[in-house]
Amino acid sequence: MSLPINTSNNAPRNTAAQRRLLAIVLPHWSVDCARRSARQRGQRITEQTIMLIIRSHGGIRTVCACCQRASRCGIRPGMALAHARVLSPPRRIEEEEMQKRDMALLRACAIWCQRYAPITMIESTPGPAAIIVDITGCERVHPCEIRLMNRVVDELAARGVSARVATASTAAAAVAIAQSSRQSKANSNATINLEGCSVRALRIDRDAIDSLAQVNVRTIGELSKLPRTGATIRYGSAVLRRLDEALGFAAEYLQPIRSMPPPSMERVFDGPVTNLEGIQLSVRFLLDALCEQLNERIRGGREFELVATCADAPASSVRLTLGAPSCNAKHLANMFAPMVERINMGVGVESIRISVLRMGRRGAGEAVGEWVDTLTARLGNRGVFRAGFVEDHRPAHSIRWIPVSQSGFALRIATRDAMVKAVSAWRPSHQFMRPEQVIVSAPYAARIVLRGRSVAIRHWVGPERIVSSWESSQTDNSEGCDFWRAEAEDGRWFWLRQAQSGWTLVGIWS
Amino acid sequence: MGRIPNEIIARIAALTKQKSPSLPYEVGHVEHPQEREHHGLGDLELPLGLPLGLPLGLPLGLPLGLPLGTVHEWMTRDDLDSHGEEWLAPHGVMIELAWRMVRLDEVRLIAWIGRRTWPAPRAMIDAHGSRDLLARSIFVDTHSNNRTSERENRIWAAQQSLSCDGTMVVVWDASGFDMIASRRMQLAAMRTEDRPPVLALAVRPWRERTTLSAAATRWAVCAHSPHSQTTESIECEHLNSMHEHRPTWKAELLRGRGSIGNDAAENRKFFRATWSWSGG
Repeated sequence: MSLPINTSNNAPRNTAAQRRLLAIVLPHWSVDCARRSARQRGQRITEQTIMLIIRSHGGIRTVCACCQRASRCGIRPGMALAHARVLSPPRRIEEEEMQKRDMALLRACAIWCQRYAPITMIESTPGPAAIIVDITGCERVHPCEIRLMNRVVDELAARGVSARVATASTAAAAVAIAQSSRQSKANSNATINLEGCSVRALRIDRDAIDSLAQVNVRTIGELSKLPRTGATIRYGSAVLRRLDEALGFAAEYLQPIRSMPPPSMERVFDGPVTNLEGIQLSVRFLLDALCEQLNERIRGGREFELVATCADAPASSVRLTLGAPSCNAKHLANMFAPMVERINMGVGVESIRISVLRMGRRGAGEAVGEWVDTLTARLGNRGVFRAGFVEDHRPAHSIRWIPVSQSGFALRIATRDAMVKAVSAWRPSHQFMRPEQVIVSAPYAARIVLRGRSVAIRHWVGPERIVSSWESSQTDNSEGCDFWRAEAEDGRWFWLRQAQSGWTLVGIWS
Repeated sequence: MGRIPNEIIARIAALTKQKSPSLPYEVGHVEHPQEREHHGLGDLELPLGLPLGLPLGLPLGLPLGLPLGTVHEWMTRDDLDSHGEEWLAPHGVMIELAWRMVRLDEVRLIAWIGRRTWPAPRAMIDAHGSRDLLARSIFVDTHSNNRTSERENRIWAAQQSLSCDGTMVVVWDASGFDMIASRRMQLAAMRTEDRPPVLALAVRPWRERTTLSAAATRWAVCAHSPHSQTTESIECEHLNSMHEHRPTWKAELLRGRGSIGNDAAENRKFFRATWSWSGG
């Protein structure tokens, strides 16, 4: 029997007349999420670390998900934790309390998958997490399905997510094939038939799978040969409905994921309010609700806007920009508090609306971002700096202090800047704001006079000629100076400048 | 405070079969996790410290390095070096200690509170051209236009930085800090269960060397000539490889709280740090 559906994952090209769906099955989603969150907390988790997600029920701890490495050791979901410990001592065990987080992350992953096609869905049937991408009509963008599937697997793997992919004309068939395939990457030489897939891949109830196994029905091909009337009575209508969905005989109900706009909360008062404490309290309530929404999306707000509608004055708005995305209501309330005090309330505020203008991914820098925000709020934008390094050979021009509020604090700047080869020249740890005159008879002199005191010099290093840049030399006609490092007898090191006007002390290794 | 519990010392003694009275100093062997693994003591949970690589038998009372979660005060011995500035911070040693923490921790940041503590950025690049320290540094200028004084801003900024989970080293200008302010810093730096330990370094002018403070240690730093060996001091070239023509500093432990530096104060022991960098 041949099933009337194109279910191979080696279709070379799409055809416009046919519906094509890409299934992304994430067999170790819970473990991948746990590993990701552990890394974000700064814990050292490698791919080799055996991770188990366990469930405690009635005093019995069972494995409900495990990583690929644990699977290779023989650990299976449903196994007792004590049994799993015997097979392989796990390095890390996480309690199953993060299902809500996993679902939110799956939704975020589905939105992320909209880069491949505009319509994505989450497969809701029981089984490993799966995302469906409707790639119908996307053949001009993705002419080769094999290449698209390999790209999806590679890009998810780069983000620490293991995935199996397949394409088919129906979502159920694509999911079944992806779940049954043993290789994560698509192979143009391999042909997987829906007939040979296990009935487990149809994502039906475990009881139905066990019942079918008792009559030696283990594959979808064998299931399709059963008389429909008897099968419905014995195994339930869900089994055949799922089979029909896979074969394209029944319509599938898939709900597309839509990316939601940034959240916004509003409170309308019964009348004009002039009490500042009441307004601050309302702001806090609104921020609590807003942060709860952000938390559900696993996002943080980077830029907020508070609009207060007044009875007799134009609406006042204040904007808050944070150093790093945050969903900490207490921190946001502290940041908003001085701004709310400055709002012109007129005869009273009628309503308050707080909107998130810009969202971002929360990460390890959240605590640092809040710290920087707090410092900036008190000391001003010119109070917190990062050091910018300009590739300029002149000592006075090679430093640039960049306010954090301008640079947009992010740790990735650090990694990008790191490990860049610098000019191999010593510079003092402290440069004086006003260079001080020094009496030096000649280079390599045994003594110099510094602030009226004679200092014995043991060692001279130099000169290092530093000339002005061509544009400044054209205007001020300066020719540059010679710089020397001088080591005193007592171990002090000086950075001296020799110019036509004389010798000056410009820096010291303190 | 970096003190090793007696039961752990007993266990080390049993393993190493040593009953030396200077055993607390001998366990300088185990200040680094890799060394503990090598000696079969990998499962020991010791008080955290920044490994300094001090030689065995050096009676500083710092067997696990510079303790984290406590305040350490540093001052440049000779303020005459300041040359028109009021006083200079010991930037070289601060940079070296910050680099050591950067190599231990890959995520957290370094806060430099007060302009006087800011080293020249070029000096923060290491010998291999790595800018990790520079890129992970936040510089806080406490001169602001608000109504609070600069000293109050310094106290507040240092306290905020010590309380932040994302900082691993906080260097602040502690000039003019009295006992109350230093106790606030000490309380903020103390390690708690939900916060990773922080290396708290306060820099002060030499004229405040007798000011009361709650810091665990107080160090004096001065330039050191490799050619002027003294018989009274114990020199240890532990920080980096020595070089003939390279800025070198000598750090002297002036005062320590608890078990730190009890012997050192009598014997005037020193250790020497070298600032080993070729770029920047």
